[in-house]
Amino acid sequence: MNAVSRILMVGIVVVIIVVAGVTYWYLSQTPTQATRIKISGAGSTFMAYFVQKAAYEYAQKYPVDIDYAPIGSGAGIQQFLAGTVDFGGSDAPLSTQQWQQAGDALHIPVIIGGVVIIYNIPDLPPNTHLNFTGQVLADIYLGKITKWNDPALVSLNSELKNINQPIIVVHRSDGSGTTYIFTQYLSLVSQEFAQKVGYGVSVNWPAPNKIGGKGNEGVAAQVKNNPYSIGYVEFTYAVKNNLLYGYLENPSTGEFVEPTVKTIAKTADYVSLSLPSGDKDWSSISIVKSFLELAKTNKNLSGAYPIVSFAYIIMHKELSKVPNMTKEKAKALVDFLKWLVTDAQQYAEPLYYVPLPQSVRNLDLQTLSMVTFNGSNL
Amino acid sequence: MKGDYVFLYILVFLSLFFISIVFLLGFELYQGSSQIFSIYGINFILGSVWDPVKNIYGIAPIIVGSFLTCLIALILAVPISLLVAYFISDLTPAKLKPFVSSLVELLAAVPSVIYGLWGLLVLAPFLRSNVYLPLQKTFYFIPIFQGASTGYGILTAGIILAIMILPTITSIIREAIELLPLQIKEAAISLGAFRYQVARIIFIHLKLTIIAAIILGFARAFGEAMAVAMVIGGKHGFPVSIFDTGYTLPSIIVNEFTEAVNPLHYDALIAVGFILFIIALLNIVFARLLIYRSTRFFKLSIT
Repeated sequence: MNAVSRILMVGIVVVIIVVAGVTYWYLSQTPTQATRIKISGAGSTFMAYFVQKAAYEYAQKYPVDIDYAPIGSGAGIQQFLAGTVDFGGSDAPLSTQQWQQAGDALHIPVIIGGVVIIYNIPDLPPNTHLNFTGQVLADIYLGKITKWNDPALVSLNSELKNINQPIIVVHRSDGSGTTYIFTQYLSLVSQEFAQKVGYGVSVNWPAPNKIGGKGNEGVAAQVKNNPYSIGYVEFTYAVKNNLLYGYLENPSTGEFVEPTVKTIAKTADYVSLSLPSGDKDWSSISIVKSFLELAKTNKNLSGAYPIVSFAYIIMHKELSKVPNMTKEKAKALVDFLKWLVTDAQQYAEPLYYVPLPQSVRNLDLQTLSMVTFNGSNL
Repeated sequence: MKGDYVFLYILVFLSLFFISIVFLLGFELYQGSSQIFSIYGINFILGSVWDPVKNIYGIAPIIVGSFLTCLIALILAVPISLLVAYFISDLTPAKLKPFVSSLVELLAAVPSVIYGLWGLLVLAPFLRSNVYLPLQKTFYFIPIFQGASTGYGILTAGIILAIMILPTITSIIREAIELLPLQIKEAAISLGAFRYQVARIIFIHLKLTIIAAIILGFARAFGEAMAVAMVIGGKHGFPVSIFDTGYTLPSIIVNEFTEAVNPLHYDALIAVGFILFIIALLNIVFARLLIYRSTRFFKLSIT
């Protein structure tokens, strides 16, 4: 063995000893992990930033670690039903079949999302906000309105008069809660859309001139790169990236409403009275639907943007059903969720989410007070 | 001696373990998709409508899209790979050889999502304005050049896949060229063959290896999900022009699995995975058989 490799050997040994020593010291400094309660959740990617931020803040204050895995709503529901996670996150409520399978599932709206319309028309002066109605959007996505200077569009926006260009329709190619809400809205405003397409996380788009984009970023990129295109993205994504979006008709007052945190929260506030209690079947509940129904009779619902939805946390009412659940852990979970729907809502806006209005927070607290462990309240 | 037996048993256990994982995977995929096959039967493969809302699942256009993107990728990648392999093994100075070949292999080390993002944000808009639209203007009278051209679609996906499989094919062929008995090249050169004639003779000798390399490249392209999903455009239906958007088997799984809330939709995607598994398996078996045959052929031809 020559001198160089001997020095190298000694060096490696020294490094290993130092690293081991530092690691041991570091581990002995931090409080032992055993006393901290671990709670796991999984599901919707949409609410992930919010839940993870809230979990981080909560862990600073209380000895509770909440681990939320953003694996998608569908997978989140599967994991919840299989009992591998303590709570699930989903952009859509459980279907009646899933709700019956779970037995005692609770729906807890934790955050609000909206869908906005984006477009790329190079001829228009920058920052021109176009107006849309639900019917016009449905006809565009059905392929019935194919040109930007279609009379239906021009009657809403006179600046489109001279734009004799075919519309390129951009949609989400991946399954997504955004598509679910958007198609639900289109199905509710247009009979024809409901019959031909229907609504779901991924649908069969009939418009001939179309491209699919993967994720909000895919739709945004394709709208940006293709002149005369139109697309829809999640509200938070549009705000974060300063995209130009359209105004949408409020069916109650006929005004055209800009999507903002305020107008989106307003819609949720208007419908909160019609929401059922959290332990009921929510499969047919949606803000869009309730709002459109309300708007038929009530013409004073001003300042509300129509395409709005909840993201839910879904959990068992009787927590002893969850494997490895203890009373202590159950209490920690309920405390965290109570905090999540009240104080933690302050973290929503900085992250570009729409916080819950007071009426929905009250409903959530009521729902959470129903949770039991082995029959006794927490 | 005892140590030898322990070592042997550990090796046997490990290999059996991995073999059983393959079978378990296949079984699990089959079990997950059995309901789909019992409901839709052969229509799952032959049907052309994919509509999760109405619970209609047919994957014929998706299979066509898969093969089409791979075909485009191979048409573009194979000639380039052959020439690059010959260039690296025979024409590059010995000192530069490891440098050049590792640069080519670096292409394989780039994560696919990077290719996807690059395709989405850079390549597709570039191709649209500099290649597709001029092409369309020139050949507007040919049906397959008509239709909307957005920059996204089967052709762009094929081009990205070509870049991704280039290193795979190149490195297999390069190694085979280097293993070729020197006498063949020497004989050709001593007879006064031109360089391209030497290359031709080499490629004729490596026919089977080249086919195997192509099949392995095909397998890589066929299984690529993320990069394709980001640029293919996601249309359910048979493509009508070369600029049209479409779908491939892995990209539909990537796109729709996370939010497949409807149980039948979930099962249908697992069934897509099962079909993909079968095709990939056949591919690998076919390539292995060819490589096996070609190596035997060499042993015979040398002696």
